[in-house]
Amino acid sequence: MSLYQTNKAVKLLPHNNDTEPLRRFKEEPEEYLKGFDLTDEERQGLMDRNYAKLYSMGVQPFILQTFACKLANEPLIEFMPKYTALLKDLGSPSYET
Amino acid sequence: MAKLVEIIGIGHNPLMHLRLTNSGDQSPEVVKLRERFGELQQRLTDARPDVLLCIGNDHLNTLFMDNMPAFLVGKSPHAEGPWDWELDLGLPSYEAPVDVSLAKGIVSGGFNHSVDFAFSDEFKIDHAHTIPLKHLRPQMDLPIVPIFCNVMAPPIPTARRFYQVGEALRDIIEELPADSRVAAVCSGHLSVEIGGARSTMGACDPEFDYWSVDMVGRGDVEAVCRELTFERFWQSGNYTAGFLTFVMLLGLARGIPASLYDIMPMGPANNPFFVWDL
Ligand SMILES: [Fe+2]
Repeated sequence: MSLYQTNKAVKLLPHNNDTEPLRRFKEEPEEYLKGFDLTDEERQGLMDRNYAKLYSMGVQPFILQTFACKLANEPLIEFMPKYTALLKDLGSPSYET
Repeated sequence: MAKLVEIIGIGHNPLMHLRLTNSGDQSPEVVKLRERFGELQQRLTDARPDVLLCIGNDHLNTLFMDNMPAFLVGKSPHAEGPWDWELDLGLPSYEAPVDVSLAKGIVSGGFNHSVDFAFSDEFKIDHAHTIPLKHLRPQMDLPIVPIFCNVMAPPIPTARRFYQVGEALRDIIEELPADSRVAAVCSGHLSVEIGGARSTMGACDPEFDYWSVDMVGRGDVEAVCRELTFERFWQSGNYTAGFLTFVMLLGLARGIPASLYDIMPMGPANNPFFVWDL
């Protein structure tokens, strides 16, 4: 697993004052993800915006939530309950890289 | 010789900031919290600091797992923040000159006290620094030295290490030739789960909150270092290790009991307070 690379692909969207990664991920996700050394499973998880899967793989929940919220383009306070519901049976997987 | 004159620790829960600054919100718990911050601002003023040592963390913004320091001193001439995504949430901005001479003195002094601080000449402060600065020194009239602690990307330093680094900072400051009066302002977390299956808007584990604040406030150094393991934090929420910055404050205070320590609930969150008048 290239968990660090997955985290990096996630982090650069929300936690970044440069909005270019966000634009690229929305418009040409395959091209954006070529910049990272990912397994097929990780790439697919990101392409599908499968947050439950990415969470289970150990992506840092803090950045995963802001990533998901940025893509949903909703205020965090409204988005959070929907996002949390996706994870409800998944426990607390380690996010150590 | 430089002198540490005051230590104040608060939470940086974004909801606390949003409720405090919503002038339409006059519910009793909010009014009480505003009064508390008024008192803390006065205590800080009464301590007559020349510079604020601002202890917090970085939320994987400036610092990431490509190159993660355990403890880092910001030493560029100017500090400002937070990041755009935080401004979008309504979190406060702050800017201040950095006391570069003190920042360098801390890094250099660390080598004599078994702490190799990382340093940065290019960083932004995020809400872990802007919230305590904005609510404790809204005048924005003092230089700062920001300290960034890794509490988010494991392996993170142990409670004993946070305590030792706090002790070392106190020694380093007191050995500096400059005559400046230094106050430490800090933010941290109580129990919290963010982006995880147990996320709530409020306290994740109130029992942990009261237990841990009491242990630090009483100055029970051995219990703090023994009990506050990463595993124990994890039981009470996935980012509860953010409490460790308060352990650094206990080290700065050389383990003496705090002058004031408590939790002020303000729905939905618990808000911690620590003050050491020195
Ligand atoms: Fe935080």
